[in-house]
Amino acid sequence: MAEQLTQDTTPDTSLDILRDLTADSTVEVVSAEELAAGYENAGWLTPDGTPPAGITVPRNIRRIADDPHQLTTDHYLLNMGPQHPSTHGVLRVVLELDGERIMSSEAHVGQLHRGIEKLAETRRYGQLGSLFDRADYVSGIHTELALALATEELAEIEVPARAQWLRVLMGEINRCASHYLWMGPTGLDSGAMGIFLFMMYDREKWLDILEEVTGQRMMFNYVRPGGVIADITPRAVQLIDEYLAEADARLDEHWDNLYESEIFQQRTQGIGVVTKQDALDFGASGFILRASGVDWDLRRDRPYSAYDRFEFDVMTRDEGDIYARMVCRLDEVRQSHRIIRQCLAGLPEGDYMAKLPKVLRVPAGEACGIVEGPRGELAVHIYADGSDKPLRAHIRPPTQYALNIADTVLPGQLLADAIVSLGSFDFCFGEVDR
Amino acid sequence: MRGLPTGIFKSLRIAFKNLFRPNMVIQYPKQRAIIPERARWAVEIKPAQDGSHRCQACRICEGACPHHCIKLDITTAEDRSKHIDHWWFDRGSCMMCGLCVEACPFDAIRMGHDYELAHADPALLVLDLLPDTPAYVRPKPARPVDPNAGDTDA
Ligand code: SF4
Ligand code: SF4
Repeated sequence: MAEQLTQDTTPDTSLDILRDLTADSTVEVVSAEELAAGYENAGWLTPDGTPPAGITVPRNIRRIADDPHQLTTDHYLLNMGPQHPSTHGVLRVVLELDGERIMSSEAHVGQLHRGIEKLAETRRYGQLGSLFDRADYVSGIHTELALALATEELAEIEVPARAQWLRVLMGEINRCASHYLWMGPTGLDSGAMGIFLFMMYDREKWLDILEEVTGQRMMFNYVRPGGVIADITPRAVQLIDEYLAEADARLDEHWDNLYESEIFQQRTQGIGVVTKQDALDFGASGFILRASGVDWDLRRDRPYSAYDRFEFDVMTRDEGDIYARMVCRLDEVRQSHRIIRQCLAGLPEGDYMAKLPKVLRVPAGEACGIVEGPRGELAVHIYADGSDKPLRAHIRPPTQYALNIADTVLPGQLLADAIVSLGSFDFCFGEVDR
Repeated sequence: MRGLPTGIFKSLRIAFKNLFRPNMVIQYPKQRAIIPERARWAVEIKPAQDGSHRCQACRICEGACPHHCIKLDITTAEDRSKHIDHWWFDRGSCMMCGLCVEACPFDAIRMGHDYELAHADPALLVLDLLPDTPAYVRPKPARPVDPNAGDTDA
């Protein structure tokens, strides 16, 4: 194996250049022989915790610092990873531990890679929605909406007012459903079992309404370039009214149930803190940004669809910890209820779909549709060449940026807090791996 | 911790309250979920009022499906009448997006409401929806019309 490795390596000269380039950093550059030797000597630490002379650390393991004497216990790598390849949306994190304390973490993504962006090049614009649903499968409406906005900008399609409002309505319902799927399991991660089931009740109610209007519970294929495929039904209006009558009271109950529980507060307050500067530096968006004290919401600051017609507040917190993110999202659900009420009260009459040709041809050019998804700023970038298929489509997944913050947030924490910390960023690996 | 853990008692009170709330789940094999009118499950042939099918073997649905899970085997006779040998539908790779149903200009298919679609053998997922059937021929309209302009009554 060592010979094989040697053959594919870069010559020593470039290795030297790399070594010079990385001289100041903690990354160690090793040649293939050294790498093989490193693996052969798997127990490469001597009993006092130092690497024996002549052995280099395999390059893909990030060192804690230059000085391994920092460790108070044995050097220990923990692979927190997928339990089964068929599990959906999995993340592998390699944690470097000192006892129970995390010294460094490194996320490995790509287990759910389906080549959505490449597949998009083989699909017509009308067929893209069903594909992009599967990117962020928890909030399909928002990815569809970003795609529709980009396509409409390129093809200069006028969207009827009723379609704009229906997009807002379905988007907010989907946002509530998505938030519940995060708040419940975060309670579960921190040891609260009941809240998960109570919140699933609310999510089910919203999913029933989505199914009634769009035909599916998660893969909607509802928002299309030019409008939406179906109008709202009287039964859906009735279902929304019925649920909204108890919705805010249920939120209060969730607050009492989970947020006021001392156990939950101790598990989440002051843990997983993302500072304002970190959040801005890493390009975080959405609730992570708002929970760290940045007052920014695309729905208010760069309104798309009909959001400029609605009245709602942008909820921010200053602490930046898990609890702040939880509170932020609970308040967002309350604001979504407000928007849904306004939507139902003022839904304009008219068409829900613009008149379009059967096969949509989009003029050459590029456009980017940006929406405020439940997880943050979600963008779809389309590069069109004038045919009926995009030349290139790109999704900007908000949680991929949040994933980078996780590597700076985890070190220093206890291993027991790793799960709830990681979970608190609401990664959706459908969109991270695409 | 400051003072008494009153929050925990609140949680307990709510959990107790939930004991007396009505059941939220349905007992599946005994009870059935209410499927909304628009729910999209596997594709099926939509029967006309007299029970016959309306597929004119135009193959538009074939081209509309992103996953190529519809395949029609058609024989065209000398008098240009069409005969559907097989109407293959691969339920296993269908994602129930509804694009084929939207594309069909003759309203011949629909998204079914049967949600018990699992099979132990993948071969059973490939169905022949219209085996060995003559294609539907629209009754001739009273006055001649341009064949390209017809059949799009929305
Ligand atoms: S189902 Fe509809 S679209 Fe498909 S071949 Fe038959 S008539 Fe044409
Ligand atoms: S529902 Fe979608 S995937 Fe299934 S056959 Fe129709 S077009 Fe193809």
